[in-house]
Amino acid sequence: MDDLDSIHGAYKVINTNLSALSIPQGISNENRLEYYKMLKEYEEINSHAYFCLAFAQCEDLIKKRFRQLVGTCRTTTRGADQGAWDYVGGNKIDILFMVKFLLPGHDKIYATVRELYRDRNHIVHEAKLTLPIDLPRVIKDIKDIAKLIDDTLSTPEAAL
Amino acid sequence: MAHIRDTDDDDLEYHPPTREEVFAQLEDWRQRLHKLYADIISWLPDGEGYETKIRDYMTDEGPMRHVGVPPQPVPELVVRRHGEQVAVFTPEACWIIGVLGRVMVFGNQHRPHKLVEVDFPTSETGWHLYRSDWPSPSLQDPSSLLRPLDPRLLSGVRFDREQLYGLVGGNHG
Repeated sequence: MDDLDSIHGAYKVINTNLSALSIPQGISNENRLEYYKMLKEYEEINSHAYFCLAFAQCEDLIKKRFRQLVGTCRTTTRGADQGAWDYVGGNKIDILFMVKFLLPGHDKIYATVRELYRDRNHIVHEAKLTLPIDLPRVIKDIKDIAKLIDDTLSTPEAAL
Repeated sequence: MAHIRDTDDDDLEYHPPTREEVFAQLEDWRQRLHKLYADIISWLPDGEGYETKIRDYMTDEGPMRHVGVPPQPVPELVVRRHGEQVAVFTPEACWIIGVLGRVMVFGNQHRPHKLVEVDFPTSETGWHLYRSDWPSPSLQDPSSLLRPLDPRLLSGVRFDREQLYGLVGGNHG
């Protein structure tokens, strides 16, 4: 998940510089308020853009790890189980369903990924910048989810 | 090729909260803020010249405007020391992606610090502080781009008595 660190770094550079901008000299009080609003809006747009990039990393990891899981299970199971994994591997699966396979029993994490997925779709498909985003926490959560998936897959029973 | 999907995920549309849900969320937000402020007030030492005041701050968030709810009061905490204002805790958002809520902490610094309320299985639940004066990469200092990011910029630190002292001045450790 090195790319998540780069995404966070790029976001921080832009965000730090936006929030450190000083007020232009000679600006009227009315324009000063507008200026602050504009900077705030730019910060929000910045966080939305990087949120979509961060979620793309999360989605990519989930798909890769899911393919690994299916590949392992298709070769390590027999009979009906193997048939089921063959069926899963040969068809299109929703990313959220993949999370259920990868992190069984982690209901709260599933709910978080679902919310992030919904929010990302809302931004990307409906061009809506509705809610502010706390990007560092989102990136931290995605990194933690990635680690949890890797830890879960590395335990022998996870592949069965 | 079949498309295997979970019936739990039939509805992935974003539904903005209804008017009733907006008021319920604001009430919940007020309670969480009062709990945070009660902790802060209890952490301030006696006899060090601290005074606190909770006043109304008129919040105006997107989901409120969406259902025609005008700005509503939520509590804001002012901390003074020896009569001088040292910190103002201003609620910023309770509808925010990634955290339960965010409070800005205005002091004497150029940029506010932020407090975020976290509820995620891999993190300690509760309020986390992100100070605006932690080293952060900036175009004004190109050498800062070469340094690894301070891990606190990602995870913050658990907000406790010691962190509060760092915000309001004094050395009470």
